[in-house]
Amino acid sequence: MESLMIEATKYTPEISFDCNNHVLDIKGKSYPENTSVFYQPIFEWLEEYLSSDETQEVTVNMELIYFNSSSSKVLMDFCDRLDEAAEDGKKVTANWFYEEDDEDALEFGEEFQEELESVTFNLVEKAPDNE
Amino acid sequence: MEKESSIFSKEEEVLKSAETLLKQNEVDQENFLSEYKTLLKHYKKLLRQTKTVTRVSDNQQRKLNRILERLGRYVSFQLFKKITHEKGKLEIKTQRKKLTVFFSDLQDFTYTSAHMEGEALSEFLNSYLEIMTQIVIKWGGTLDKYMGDAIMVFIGDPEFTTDEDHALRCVSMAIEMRENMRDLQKKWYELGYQEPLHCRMGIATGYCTVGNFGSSERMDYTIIGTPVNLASRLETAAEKDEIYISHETWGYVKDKIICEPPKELHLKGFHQKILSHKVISLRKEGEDNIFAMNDEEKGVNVKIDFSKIPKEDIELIIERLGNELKSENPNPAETVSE
Repeated sequence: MESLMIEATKYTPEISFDCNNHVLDIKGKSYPENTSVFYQPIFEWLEEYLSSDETQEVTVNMELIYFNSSSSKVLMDFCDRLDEAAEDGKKVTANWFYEEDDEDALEFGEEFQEELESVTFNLVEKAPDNE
Repeated sequence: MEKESSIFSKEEEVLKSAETLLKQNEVDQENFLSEYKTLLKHYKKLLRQTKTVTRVSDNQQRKLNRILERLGRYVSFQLFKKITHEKGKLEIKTQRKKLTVFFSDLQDFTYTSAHMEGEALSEFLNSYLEIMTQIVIKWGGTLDKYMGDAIMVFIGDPEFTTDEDHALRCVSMAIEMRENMRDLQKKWYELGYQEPLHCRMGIATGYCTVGNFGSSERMDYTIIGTPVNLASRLETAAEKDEIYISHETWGYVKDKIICEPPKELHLKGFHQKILSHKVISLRKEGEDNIFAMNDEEKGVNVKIDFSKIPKEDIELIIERLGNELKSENPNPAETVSE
């Protein structure tokens, strides 16, 4: 199986799913013109990756600055799929990064934290950007 | 919508399966329970997701409203409408339009402000700009920018009516600003500012290039062109509490506004002399600036339009009349004694 790398665009996030190190990163903005078309290959990859029998630890990092409603639906499906995998015995840790003053991102992260039963879900406040 | 609905493909699949089951004549109870559990599980999930998305969407809506509210304070009402209502990309494009342009500033403000503390200065300036801005909004002007104590406004874009209307609204706005200045002067005096501040205003009408100027990163919606320079120069030429309008502006408002006779001015940046008119007041209905005397029996028929004749010319006429009287009656005192 090969890792999945998709570069960020103005409307879509950077996808870096590394199947060798078992780190899945989603970073950036997500308001694609067609959400299902953009996320379909990502879900297909995830399905294949999670269906393997390996029981290694998986780390998922989600750092989204802005996402539209359909992306949030897809993200919830994504997390639900991770939760199912964790229920089936995989050790999954999800890190939800949010900016200090981004209440929406924090609230969204809190929702996940509450709903996901088997995934270890961490809310991580990003350090202020000093650039 | 159809494309977007595919993010719900799983949910649609579950519904379809449940519907198919209901259509069957005989249903195995075990099978029915299994389908029912799946339906319930997905319904719960969907409810949870809907709640989350609704909450986040409401928050984002609130955030957007907050941003729009703040943005509205930094740009003119008209431009705000253009930004928020214009579909597609806001491109860097310009167009030629006949506009009426307005400039004002406070005479000697630089000197006055040098003697003021920062806090007092900002309070002072903000109270002045607040009142003037309300007047700009009232007359439908597009507030182009503040430059310290100076204000630049144009009328005719984005909302275009007629050239006459733009010019009249602009001059009416200036008159109202001047009237408000009197109240402000009183207020400032009572607040302890020794020197009363006075405004100066300039108005010009003509073709300008209007639109977005700048780079793709940062744009300014503004105007450029000769009327802009002219309005600015007329403002500089004006004295305390005076409003100077260009001859073209005057052409549009002459029936509604009383002005002094025109003056030719030498303005920086203009090679030819510029004819300008000093605004006196709005002309009330039935009121004009004409002196008329008509007595045919005595052979008198006089009509003087004070908005056209310079003061010097009237003085010359009076002098001439005086001379005529003297020449007809060289020694009136002697005549009386006789």
